[in-house]
Amino acid sequence: MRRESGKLLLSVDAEEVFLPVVTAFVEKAASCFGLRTDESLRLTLAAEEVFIYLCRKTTYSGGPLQIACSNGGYFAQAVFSLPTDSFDLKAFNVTAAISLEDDAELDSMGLVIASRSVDRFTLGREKGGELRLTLIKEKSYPPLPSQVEPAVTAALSRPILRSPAPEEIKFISRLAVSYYDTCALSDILLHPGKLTDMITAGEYDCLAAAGESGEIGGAIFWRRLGENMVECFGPYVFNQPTPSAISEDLVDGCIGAVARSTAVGIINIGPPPGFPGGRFELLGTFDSYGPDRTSTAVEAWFRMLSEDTGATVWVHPDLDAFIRREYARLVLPREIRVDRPSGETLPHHSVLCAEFDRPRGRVTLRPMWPGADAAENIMRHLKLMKTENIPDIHFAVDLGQAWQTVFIPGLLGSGFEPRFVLPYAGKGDVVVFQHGVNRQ
Amino acid sequence: MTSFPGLERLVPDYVKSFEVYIPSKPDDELKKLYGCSKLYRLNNNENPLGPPETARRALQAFDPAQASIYPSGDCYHLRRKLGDIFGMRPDQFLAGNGANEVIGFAIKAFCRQGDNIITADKTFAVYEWVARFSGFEARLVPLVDYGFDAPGMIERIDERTKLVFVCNPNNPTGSWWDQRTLRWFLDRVDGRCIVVVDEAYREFVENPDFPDSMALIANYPNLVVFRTFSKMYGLAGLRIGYLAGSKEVVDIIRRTCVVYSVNTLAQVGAFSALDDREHVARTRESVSSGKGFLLKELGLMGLPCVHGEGNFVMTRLPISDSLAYRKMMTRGVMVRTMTGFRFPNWIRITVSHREALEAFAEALSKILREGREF
Repeated sequence: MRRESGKLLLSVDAEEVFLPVVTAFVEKAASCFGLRTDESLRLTLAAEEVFIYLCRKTTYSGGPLQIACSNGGYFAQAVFSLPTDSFDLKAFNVTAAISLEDDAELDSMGLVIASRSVDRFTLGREKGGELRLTLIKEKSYPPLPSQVEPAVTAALSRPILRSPAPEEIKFISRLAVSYYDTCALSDILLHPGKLTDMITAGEYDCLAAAGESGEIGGAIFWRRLGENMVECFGPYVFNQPTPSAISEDLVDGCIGAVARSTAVGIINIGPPPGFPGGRFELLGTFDSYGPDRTSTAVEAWFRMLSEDTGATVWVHPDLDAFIRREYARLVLPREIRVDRPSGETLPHHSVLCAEFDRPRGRVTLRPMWPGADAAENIMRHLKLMKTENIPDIHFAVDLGQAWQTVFIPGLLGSGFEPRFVLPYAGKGDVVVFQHGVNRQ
Repeated sequence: MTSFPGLERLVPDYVKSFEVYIPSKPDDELKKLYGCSKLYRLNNNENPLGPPETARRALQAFDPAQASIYPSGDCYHLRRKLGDIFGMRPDQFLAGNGANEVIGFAIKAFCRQGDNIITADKTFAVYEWVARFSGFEARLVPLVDYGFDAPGMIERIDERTKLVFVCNPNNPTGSWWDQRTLRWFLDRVDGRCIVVVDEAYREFVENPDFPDSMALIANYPNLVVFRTFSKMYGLAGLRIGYLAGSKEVVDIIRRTCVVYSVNTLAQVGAFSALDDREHVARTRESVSSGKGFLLKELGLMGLPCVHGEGNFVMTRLPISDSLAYRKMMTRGVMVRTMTGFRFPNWIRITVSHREALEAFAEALSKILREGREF
């Protein structure tokens, strides 16, 4: 075991005899990172399931397996990494043991059990080809009380934009709940302690519009989303005259803060009322599910941070009309190459990686490997999500990777609908599908 | 599978966090991409009149056989001519492959780990970029009323500040410090760090209050002046710029410079360009007339503008600048989006020739009308 840049690392052979070492390592690490005992145990349980699964699925014993535990401020995570060549890729599907005809095997699936124990569970393959399973358990934070006393602020004449102090972040949460319906707020604002930790950990950034005496007239938040994207939340404006320039100033401040970063675009999903849409482009809408599983349509807004230098995309004929319509509407210069499997030999088994976000009732699936069973694999995943009571199922297809077109017929045939194109969100543009099961 | 698994370990963190600059594609590719048959370039503040006549003749007379001979490694003749023009010694000048290269020379010469540079938040990006990808802190002082904030920059100087970059006139706002402000600033700096005044657009300025920076070098040995042949002199394609300063400061910067980085053709073009007596006046007249037309057209569209000295105007749009760029491109007009300059929804337009400006005005007007109808 060694420590490297804030991480605790364990290198262990993939043999079940080492299971106690793994569980002790993850449990102690989670405890040191501030998780409560019950939270640590849930992360440990997930790690145990994953380790056993990997031991049984690696193609040779003694495989070099790395486990990295790290403190994300508001969460602890355990990341399992192993080289691709030591693992049967087919087994990387969370549905690997699922039969479409038989439900009996569901409970015996280690990866599914692991996903239930944590808040976020991601299976993916890194750039270098390494397989990576990430388990994230968040700390518990008290929500804002349902009856929040209005947090008063005054109209500001010449607000300045600045990063808020930690105590101001919690105050911003109270202001937000005072001036907005909670359904119009990003859920990051509903747990002020968590929000403070997320900003302190550097996962989120915030700009506040403040007066000389410390009055807060508004705020905007953002975070990195993958390599190419920034996601922003807000702007939220409190008790200011209408129309207020604060909203536009906050958006400009946020865009300015990331304009010279590696991000190529910025997205805002479900912005609050008063959002200055003129600075963005409407990509489309999708359904968002509340805790009671009722859905509401939310808008996805986007803007590029630089000039578009064009790109080539690979599109299945069944998606061609949608893609051309969207590119024409968004005036995106693309060379569209229509492509479909044409009898060439495909691997027998496709692989999908899954990103579970249990608190939001959402899973996002992404193709990891093509295969002749693409349509069937999608159906298996849908069946699993139904069993797991996950209503919000997204599927992201990267148009920069021709091999992903093999999934399109299966998606369209199983009730997925293309909702919008997110430019440069992957190797190329990404089409976001959502399963339309609740929208008959 | 990557072919170089150990690469990650070799790359410094400050380089990992840096974005790759993606330049525009060549015009023929852009026209194909956006489906336009003609392309007016209003994005790079190039001079539509091209190089001065003297430079054109010298370039045409260039013997291709000379391409096999290395250029003068230190732009010998050009520096002597600059010395004559400005009444300074040739070794007070240092030429580079465009002014961008001399920015790198200056930062390399003075900064070490833990040092910082100071500039504005909304200005030419290369000072900040070069500092950051070299691992140095770039302290950004917000513009005040679209201009460099002299007192604000003084406040940010500390013992680890090695260079302050002032873009004068500022790209993209056109604001500028007059002689009094620059002197005030240099007095307050009091030799604690190098003050770089980037005068890429200086030749466009007619106002007599604009500082005579070259003359100030005699009194302020920490002052370094950048100039370029890419804008007024229309030699952007040849890449040549230079810096001027006190002999002792230039001697230090010369230690970090790449000799032979300026090719022979560029040296010939620049040397001859300085002989032309009419080019500057003709360009200024063209810019003045074009700017008047542009401001009138933007005013008719109800768009707020920011402009000052220089061959460019900035305007704020009711739509995203990156969307406007794409729409303008489909109509054969290329502008510069200003998000990268931290002015979201603004575009910068080069004051080009009348035909290009008319095409711009027509295209933008149509785009805005469509937006309103939509």
